[in-house]
Amino acid sequence: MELAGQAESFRRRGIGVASVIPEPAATIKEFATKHGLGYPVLSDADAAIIRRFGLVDHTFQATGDLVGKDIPYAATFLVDEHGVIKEKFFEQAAENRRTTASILVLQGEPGTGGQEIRAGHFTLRTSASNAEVAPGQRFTLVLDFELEPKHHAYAPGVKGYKPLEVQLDPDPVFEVHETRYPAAGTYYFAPLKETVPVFQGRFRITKDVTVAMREALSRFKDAAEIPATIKGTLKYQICSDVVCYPPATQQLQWTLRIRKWVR
Amino acid sequence: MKTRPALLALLLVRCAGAAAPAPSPAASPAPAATTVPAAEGSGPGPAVGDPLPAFQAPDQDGKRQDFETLRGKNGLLLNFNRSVVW
Repeated sequence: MELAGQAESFRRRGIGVASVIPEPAATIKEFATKHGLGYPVLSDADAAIIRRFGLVDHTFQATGDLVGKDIPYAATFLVDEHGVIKEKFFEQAAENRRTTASILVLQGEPGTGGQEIRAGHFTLRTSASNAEVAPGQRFTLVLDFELEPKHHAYAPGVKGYKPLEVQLDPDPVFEVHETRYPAAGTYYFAPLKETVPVFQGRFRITKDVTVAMREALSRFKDAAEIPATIKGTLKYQICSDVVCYPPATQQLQWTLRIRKWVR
Repeated sequence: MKTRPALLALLLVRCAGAAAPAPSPAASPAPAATTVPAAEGSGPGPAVGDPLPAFQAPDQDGKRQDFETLRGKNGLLLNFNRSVVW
């Protein structure tokens, strides 16, 4: 399980990690002994937990040994220390799975790969949650900004200025999700008596991408993995306390590998 | 008091406005790529802001685990999967 490789990174952040699986304890123990899981995997053989959580996937078409068994959706909950759910990661389609590395970068962990771009009045470091992804996986592209002091970029919803916006070039292999922004600050510009939503200093915006199963698989032919490039454009406008620069664009690029299977 | 003279600011804002005209069919957010709605966060099971339902089960070593035994000082990542391999 992909989570096993990331469990230590969560523990370093003070976050415990566990999985719940509708398999007998003996099956889990056998797998854990063979592959070494390194974190607790709970046996929900009678499906009591997934029923209690309301996570049984009634649309699942069971075959073989699974016929008659309750199977859950693949879902992940990030829970605070008081037991309150802070984030819920859930995919409707059985073929789609968010990578655990993606959940980690959404918590602020550094991404992998990418480039450093020095643009006018800010530095941008791009990276991705995963260097290697598989068909059906959902992962995260990361843009870490560092603006010069006393400069700001504009947040979505701003009027009269160009907000930060990330657009990816169309590619049938990649389904693009909405951009995630941090909470905007406000900036009061006295001469115009206007208050505008801005980002300042260091901040991160992210964009999730799902590797479309069928479209990706059609590209493999006989290869076990293929290279892929995601291109896009950053649109922005930077202003300081004294000068407002015209809107500008920056080309973006991420290179990664698509592996045929997750295992 | 801001050091930026109001006139200069107005001028620059107007320039900026000229460079980025009001939304027109060409400038409106083009569907540059397949954008799928954020399905996650919703869907079956408890929602964000809800308390995690109580649970208890044995782990691979036969140890009884629940939220309190599993959590770190900042909480818990609880994952549901269909089997050990997928």
